[in-house]
Amino acid sequence: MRFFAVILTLCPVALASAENNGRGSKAIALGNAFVAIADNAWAVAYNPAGLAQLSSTQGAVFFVPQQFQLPELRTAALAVAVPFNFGALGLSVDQFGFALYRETNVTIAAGRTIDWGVSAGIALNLHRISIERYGAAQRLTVDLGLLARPHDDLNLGFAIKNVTATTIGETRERLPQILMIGTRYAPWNEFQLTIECEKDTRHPLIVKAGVEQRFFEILALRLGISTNPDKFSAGIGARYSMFEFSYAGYSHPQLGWTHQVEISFQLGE
Amino acid sequence: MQLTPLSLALVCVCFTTEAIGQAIPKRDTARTRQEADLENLLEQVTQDAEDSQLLDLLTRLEENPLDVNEASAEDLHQVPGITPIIAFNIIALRARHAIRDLDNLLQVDGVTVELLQRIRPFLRVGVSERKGETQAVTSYSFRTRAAQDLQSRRGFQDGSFRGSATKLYNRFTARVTQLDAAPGREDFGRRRHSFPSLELGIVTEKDAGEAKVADFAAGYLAANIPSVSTRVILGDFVVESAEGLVFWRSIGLSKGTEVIANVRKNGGGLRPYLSTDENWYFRGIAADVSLDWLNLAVMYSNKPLHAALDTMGVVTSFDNSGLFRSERESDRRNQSRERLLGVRTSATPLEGLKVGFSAYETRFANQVLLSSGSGFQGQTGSIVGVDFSYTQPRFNLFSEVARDHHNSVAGVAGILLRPHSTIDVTCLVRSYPKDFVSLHSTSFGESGGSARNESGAYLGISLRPLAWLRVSTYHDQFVFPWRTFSTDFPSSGHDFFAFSEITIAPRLLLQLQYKDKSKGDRRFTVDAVGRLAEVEGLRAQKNYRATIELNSARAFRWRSRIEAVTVNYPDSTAKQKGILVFQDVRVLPLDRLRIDARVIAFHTDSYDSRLYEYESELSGTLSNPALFGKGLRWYILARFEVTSEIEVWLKYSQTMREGVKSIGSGASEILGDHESRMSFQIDLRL
Repeated sequence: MRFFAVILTLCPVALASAENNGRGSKAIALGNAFVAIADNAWAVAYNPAGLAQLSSTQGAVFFVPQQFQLPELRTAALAVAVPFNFGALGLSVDQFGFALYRETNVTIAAGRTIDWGVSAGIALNLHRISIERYGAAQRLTVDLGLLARPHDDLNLGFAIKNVTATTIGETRERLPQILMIGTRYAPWNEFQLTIECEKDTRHPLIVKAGVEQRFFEILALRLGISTNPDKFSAGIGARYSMFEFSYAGYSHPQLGWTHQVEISFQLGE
Repeated sequence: MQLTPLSLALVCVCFTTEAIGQAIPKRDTARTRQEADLENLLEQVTQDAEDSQLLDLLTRLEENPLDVNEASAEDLHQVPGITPIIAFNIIALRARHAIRDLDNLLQVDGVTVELLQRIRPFLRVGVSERKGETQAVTSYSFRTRAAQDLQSRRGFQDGSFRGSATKLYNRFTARVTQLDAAPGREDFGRRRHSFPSLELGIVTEKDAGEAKVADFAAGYLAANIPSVSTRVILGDFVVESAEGLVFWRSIGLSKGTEVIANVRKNGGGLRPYLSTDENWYFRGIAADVSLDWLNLAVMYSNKPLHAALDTMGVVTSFDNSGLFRSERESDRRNQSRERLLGVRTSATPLEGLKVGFSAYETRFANQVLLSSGSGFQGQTGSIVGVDFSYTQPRFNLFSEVARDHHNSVAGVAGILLRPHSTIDVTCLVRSYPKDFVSLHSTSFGESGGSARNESGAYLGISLRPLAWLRVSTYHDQFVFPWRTFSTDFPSSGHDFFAFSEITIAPRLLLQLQYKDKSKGDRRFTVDAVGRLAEVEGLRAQKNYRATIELNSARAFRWRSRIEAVTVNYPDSTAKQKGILVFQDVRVLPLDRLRIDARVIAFHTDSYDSRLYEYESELSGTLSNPALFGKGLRWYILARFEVTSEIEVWLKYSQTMREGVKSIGSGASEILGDHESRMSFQIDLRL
């Protein structure tokens, strides 16, 4: 019963569900407001321009055992980002669902700093949806991102998903286009605040905000909220050597809690 | 995957910008600043008004900048941003010593670095070193523009439009200017104009669907005869004087972000006409005599008018659209005629004091009885107006009063005050009786510029209390003593606006804006027993806007905006809401190339809660589209300077709306959920 309730609730966004539910514990704990931060390998999914900030190779494995406590809504994802001289490249692969309904995404992204304190990025996503007994469909979409740092403690971020207004299936239904505009403010060392708005062309505006406080470089506490629907999120991250273990949880007003865990690594400094 | 031009374009932007490294262009700043200024000025003009006369005036000023050592106060005031007080102070400065460099203007109270950037393209410093030598210099400018919708409108499919879907525009001017005429005269600047000695202008336009390339044509020949201080215009012209109660033709700028400068109109007098508003301008001959302290312009116009006639030959409406695409629309072309004899004179008997007198008498070829029941009636009309303006370094007092042929009297009066260099205050009162008729006017007010059926009071304040903060606000109250378009009874309302601009960090600006407008409205509802009931009351609209702007050096501009609107109705109609988010980027990847790109997402409950966003456009055009429903719009605009004489512009825009099967209505309807438009322009200046 609960499964059907979830499907009904998510139906309108079913095809884009993988993107909207977030990737990476840090982003999710911050209320999914990550377009102006985008400082780890998950920039691939939020704002490819953020890749340009990375100074060393990073990677992460992320797992959502059961979304809304439904084992069928399972997500596993991994991401890697590598900086080069000309900019940074990123790759992410994720899989959502179960045997009857499965979504797979492969994203490659590039980000590069432009000499005016601004970086730009582009991501190509290959989405594949397979529904047992109905077959499979796939499509390629393009995301663009920009990140500006007008001041040491301030970032501005912008990303648009599916710029090409790609359609899918035999009905040629247009896939959602999503605009995200956000700002990050870090007035003190170890503390940052982010506010973002997200507009999916089909749905009302979502406002998201998150805060992060780090302690002694090893521990991070994160909180976030977002509207439409009202969601609350929290998370914790602990760093050990080159690894960080993190957890994030968010509550949906009708569907309850979802928990996720992640292990990430960073080579060098 | 469906690859639309957007992806290609945006990808190009991304990678061209990445490829260019540290190229920091030096040239484009003036133009960039100028456009920012126009946005403040024009964003209240909520329509797609191509080739509006105001833009045309600015193009003319740009092609032929004013000499700061020669231009009269009236001419200087034509430049957006220069208030009468600043113009007065510029003249006071040059009376002490000739201005040798535009940077000298910074000594003038009220001219900031920012303002100077905005006004620079319209000003020049005349050469005043050599004596007696004059040299005739001929300059030409040519502009051609084509625009086309990529989707076919209904009128083209069913064959009712006779022409092609391309919109074409051509504009040509030639000027012979005497450079360096009689320098060193101590009285310069009193009443002398810096006009070219001979000037020719021609404009043609074909709207989409019209058959002929020159479906509309206008033009003029103007000559300056210095020996008798006279200028003669043969052909098309307009007159703009004082506060616009008698003569005014361009967009009625009144309320907006520029809370001070827009209030005071102060027309520049007689001017050649080279725009494409097709109905209400003058065609004939006009002459303008400028003596030291006196200016006299007389004009005669005999111009056909586009109008709808009834079977008795009575004009029931004037057609101001200028669209003659189908047989039916063409039936309105040149159906009537107006003959007008007019005069405008102004004198400056004392420093800072100007008094003026304007009058005309007009006669239509047909009786006029408008089906809207308001406005001009009959066949002949006349109007007389007097005006004055008194300027001192810290204030300007102005007024205009006009009387029409029915002895109805309308008036406007106001004051601009500058008590301190960080404070500007404007106050204006107006009274336009319900039966006042002024055919050629556009004056300050709520009802789109027509000086009728309105009285009101406006107070505007602009403060710059701190270096990083600018605050502007106005409050306007108005009363409509008679029924209006939106109500059946006398009504009233108010308009409140507040704007602040905060410099958060160098080059980073935050702009916050709030607007609250209540106005009489009529709604029809069905009551409890099923009868149709009309409810009159106030329609209250509130707009909230935040914009963040980053100007990274000179080669990059970032702008993000969020705007929300709510509308409340006098009856139980549910509150309507709307929201708009956009991201705008401007890059100058090459010295000669500028690219503007913007993506806008919008979501409104209805057309009534629509939102507008002022867009970058091809030079000389204006676009401020209304967005409603839910969807996405984007555009990309490129400007390329091929050589210093040739400039090329290109724009592609697209609007996609979710959940609709067609866009527009009637003959303009497009089947489908998106519309796109491509436009192209070449500017040549020799």
